[in-house]
Amino acid sequence: MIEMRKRASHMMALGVVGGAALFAGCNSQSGTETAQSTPAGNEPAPSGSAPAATGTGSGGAKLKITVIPKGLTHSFWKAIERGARDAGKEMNAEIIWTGPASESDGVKQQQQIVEDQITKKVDGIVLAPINRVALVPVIDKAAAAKIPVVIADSDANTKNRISFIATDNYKGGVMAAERMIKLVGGKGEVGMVPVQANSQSTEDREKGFEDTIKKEAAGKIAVVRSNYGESDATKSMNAATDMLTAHPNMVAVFGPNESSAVGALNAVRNRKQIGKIKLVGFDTGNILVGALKSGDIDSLVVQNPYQMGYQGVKAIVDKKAGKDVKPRIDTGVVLVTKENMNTPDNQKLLQ
Amino acid sequence: MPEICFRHPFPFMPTTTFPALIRRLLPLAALMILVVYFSIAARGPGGETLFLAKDNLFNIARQQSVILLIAFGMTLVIISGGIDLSVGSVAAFCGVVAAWITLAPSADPTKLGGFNASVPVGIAAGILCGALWGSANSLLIGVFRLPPFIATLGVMGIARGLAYIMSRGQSVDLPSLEIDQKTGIDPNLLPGGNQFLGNGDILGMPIPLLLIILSALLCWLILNKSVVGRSIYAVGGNPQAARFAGIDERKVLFFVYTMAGALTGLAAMIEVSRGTSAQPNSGADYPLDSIAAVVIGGGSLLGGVGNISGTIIGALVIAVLRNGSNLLGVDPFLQMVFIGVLIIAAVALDQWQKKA
Repeated sequence: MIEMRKRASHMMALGVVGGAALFAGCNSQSGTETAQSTPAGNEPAPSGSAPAATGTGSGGAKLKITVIPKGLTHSFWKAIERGARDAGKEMNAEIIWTGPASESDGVKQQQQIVEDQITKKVDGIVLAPINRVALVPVIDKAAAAKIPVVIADSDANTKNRISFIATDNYKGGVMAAERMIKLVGGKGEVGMVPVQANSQSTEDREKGFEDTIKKEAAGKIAVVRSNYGESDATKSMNAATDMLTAHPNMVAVFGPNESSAVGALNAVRNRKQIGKIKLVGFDTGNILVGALKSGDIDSLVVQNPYQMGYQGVKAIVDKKAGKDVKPRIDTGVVLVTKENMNTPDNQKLLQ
Repeated sequence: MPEICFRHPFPFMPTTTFPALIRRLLPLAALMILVVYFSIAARGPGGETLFLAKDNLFNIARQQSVILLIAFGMTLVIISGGIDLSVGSVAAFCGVVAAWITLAPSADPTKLGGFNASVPVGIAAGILCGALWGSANSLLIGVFRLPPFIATLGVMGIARGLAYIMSRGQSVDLPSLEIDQKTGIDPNLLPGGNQFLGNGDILGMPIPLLLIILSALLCWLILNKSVVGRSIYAVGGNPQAARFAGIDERKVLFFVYTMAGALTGLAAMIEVSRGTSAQPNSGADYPLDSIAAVVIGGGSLLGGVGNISGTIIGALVIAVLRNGSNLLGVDPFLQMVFIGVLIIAAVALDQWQKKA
């Protein structure tokens, strides 16, 4: 009896602890999947692409630049990686691409990665901070070690950065709201799947969306917030599903990032309400672009992450060459619909 | 029956069988191999070693301090035959409470040379919260007889939910003071500053490192030199024999889980201080990371076996693997695979040792 009990609990031990490894395995699986399914080899998009700098053309040592995204699995980050790597090739810099595997709980990992890059004495860091406060001590530490830091995508509460390169996210939220008002005919109940607490970029979008609806359709359109999707498509789907169940008269949903938009899309698909509930998303990715093509999603507000990666690396190369770097670089947003999705410019953004 | 019952009456006594010796030495050997490898392989631009530099070793201590402190508590819990899945949620809860209290209007830190009385009060409250959650766990397990896995699973959800409710799902951010331009002194790193506990130093030693050393000593003394320690091994190794010996299991469990909770609270304080912000969603990986450290270090989830030095080695193996991989630029997904393999190897070795 006792032997059996012991064996059972040993199995349990293996299950629990080995389960962690298995989960990790699953995570990485989905990561590589995204990588493979995303077509590689993008070009700099037209908006804001400056002439390439040749900062290290003098044949000096290759600059080492670390680019740290919030997570490794969203196609948004893959586009930043392509931009950074292309800039690295063009400007003769070595790009180190590393970040937390999971975005929802990666603050501590980002802190650790930045610290380890300081130890490694890299020549510059491009960082998309998950939290605008929690990364400040390590950013300041990098600055104290004379390593230039470029903040990309979401801002951090520190002056110790040479440039902030991002979308005007508030403007993106305004765009989504204006489209939404037109879609629902100026009245009704619309939902939103907010992404994550204290992530500057997505909060700005959410605020731009809510402010615009309040301003332009006050008293006619009510905005309902679901639970946070936490940058996870499944959690976002569950949040959207519960919101739709609780609000049967809802006519449209806004997903302010890739996972929130995918979650909202899948919730509406599962409930067989495609067409009845209009969808406006943010960012791209195979699922969202496919849904835009089929008409399941009305429109996507699309950023230019390729440019964020490209300009981020360029800013550090310029800084190292003693050139001026603009403290704020806006990489632009575009509203892409089924009608205009096939223009060459928009095709590049959707890749 | 009696042979089985009394097979491990005093499991803390050193066992000298050959496989057991290997089991004890192998994690240490693995750690040493990693240290030597990374010292040679991770080189800076000028060819200097990056890994074995003082600053990097201190970084490792700061980075792993949270997991180490939690793992010390987990060692006690696992030796007592239990498990604590609630540590991550409890850490998040403690962090939110402490950050909240620190934000409460009190003495103006700018007038007191950076000293903010609400910081030590917040830290004390955070540790107390951890201890209270721990005692709640022990109540559920010792008095209401819930299996530890289930009791702490429930508390995991409750503490996490309350952390979200208190913070309204937002991270609770602490204000940072400006660095004095004339003297270059960062008031945040002074005693009473927000970052003192996590990023500060005493006599050139990182405070998290000092806390690790103190907590390790305390836990080691408890486990090896006290009656309570012997009771913990007895309750975990052979509950029936412990009962016959007159040990009150409930008291032992109360001590174990409360201690583990307090250590979790302390770990949370370091985490909050390092980022000057409390995240209600942080720590989801703490239970498994700390269990992994204990298991790699020779602890058995069957109870009755485990020790603090093993746990330190287990946690360091994981920390060194992560840090060295970052310095070498190893793919982060691959790092997860390595750590998974390590855990399975350690437990497989346990099995082999039992059969031999």
